[in-house]
Amino acid sequence: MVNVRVFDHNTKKRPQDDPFGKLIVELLRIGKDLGAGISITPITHGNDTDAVDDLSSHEIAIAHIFPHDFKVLADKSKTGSVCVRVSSEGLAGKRSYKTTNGVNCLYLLPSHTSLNEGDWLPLLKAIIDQATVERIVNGQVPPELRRYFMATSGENLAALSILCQGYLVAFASSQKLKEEDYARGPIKDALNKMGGWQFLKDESNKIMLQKAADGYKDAPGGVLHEGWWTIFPGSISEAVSNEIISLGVAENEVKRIVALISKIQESPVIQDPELVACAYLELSEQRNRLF
Amino acid sequence: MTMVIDWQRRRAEFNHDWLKNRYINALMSFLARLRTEDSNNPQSLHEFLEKDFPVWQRSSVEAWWLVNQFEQEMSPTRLFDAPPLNECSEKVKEWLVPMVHCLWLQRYDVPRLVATARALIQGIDDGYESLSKSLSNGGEGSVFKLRAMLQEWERYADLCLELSRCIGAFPRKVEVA
Repeated sequence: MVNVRVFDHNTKKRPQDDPFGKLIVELLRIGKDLGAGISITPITHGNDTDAVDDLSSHEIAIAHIFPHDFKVLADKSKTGSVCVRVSSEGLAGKRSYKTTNGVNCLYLLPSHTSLNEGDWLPLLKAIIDQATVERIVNGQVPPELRRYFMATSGENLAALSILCQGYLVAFASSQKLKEEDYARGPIKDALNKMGGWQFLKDESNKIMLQKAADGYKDAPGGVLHEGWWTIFPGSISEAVSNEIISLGVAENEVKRIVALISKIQESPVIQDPELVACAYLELSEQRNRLF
Repeated sequence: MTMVIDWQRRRAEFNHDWLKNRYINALMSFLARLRTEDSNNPQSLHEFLEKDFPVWQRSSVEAWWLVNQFEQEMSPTRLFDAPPLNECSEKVKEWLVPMVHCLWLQRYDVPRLVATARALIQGIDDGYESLSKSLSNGGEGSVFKLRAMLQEWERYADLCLELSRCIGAFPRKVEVA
């Protein structure tokens, strides 16, 4: 039986916010789903110092505590045990590590308030598996766990999204489009999502919009030129699919995105803003799920 | 992307670790003691005035840095410093970079967020100075005098809470949309 002890220092301070409740309820439910091999128990009393003492006597501790308390926890815990620090703010830039006395300290990078059952299930499975924990603290994070333990900006997805935005603004400004021209459809939705309609209306952007409109052409530097999409090392779909595979995206999702990107790739000179708007909306949704 | 992570880290250390979970908690405990009979024991009140309250003075510098640097550090235009977007031609960057920045300002209402945070920090700075002045004019000496400043302390605490909420509302990552 693996014992997991959980503590959140906000329990007493701000119970009305109830982040502890959310975390514990999720963990207890998932613990049951994982079967008899795991027992999850929350600490619901005592101060932070008492909780750290309690946590340090267990093999696995998940804690929402201050950095200095986490350090004390790591110092007091036994060799081979696992201490996971979570934060409502997220832990950007932190890297999981093993202490000199062999305690595995894991930093969960996203805010714990943003995680749901779909996140906690693989996380708990990973945390109770010694081999996976070893990989995480050694920087060899399995793909499906990278978004939780490795800082990644997803620069290829972001770059493709920005190129789509540039294309759509160039198109809209060259056509002098107005929001009223569109009742609905992907172009309206895409420009809405990126803040484009307001941008197009703003008089102070006039010079920039003129430059963007000039960019709607099939010549070097123009969005209709094949060069617009060729900033990636290799092909776009290769660059983006490698990136999302490395972030643990499911195979069917990868296929769907690659199929969409392939349409851009196959027609280097794209004169179809709707296709670009669809690609942008899909990528945007994917980015929201991943980051 | 090191600088971006630096801003995110410094925001978390300032807002989450210090302001929200230390300073405001200490301030609220102080206010609670000041309002109740516990304040007959001035020792615990003085402890706050000597140890906790003055920390704002040096933390204010960090608050100003975070707010003043936000637009530069967290704009998606930072992505043009690294592959693959740094491969765009100079002619393209000429309009694409400012366009990306303007869209981002628009989407997250960045100018309003920054202006609100600046006004709050200035308000806390002013409140800190005014409270410090009152304390040095003898307010620190007795619980009675400290109680007379209760409204001023409450205003100061409200501003700290507002600042924490405001900084918490800043985008947490480089948002591309």
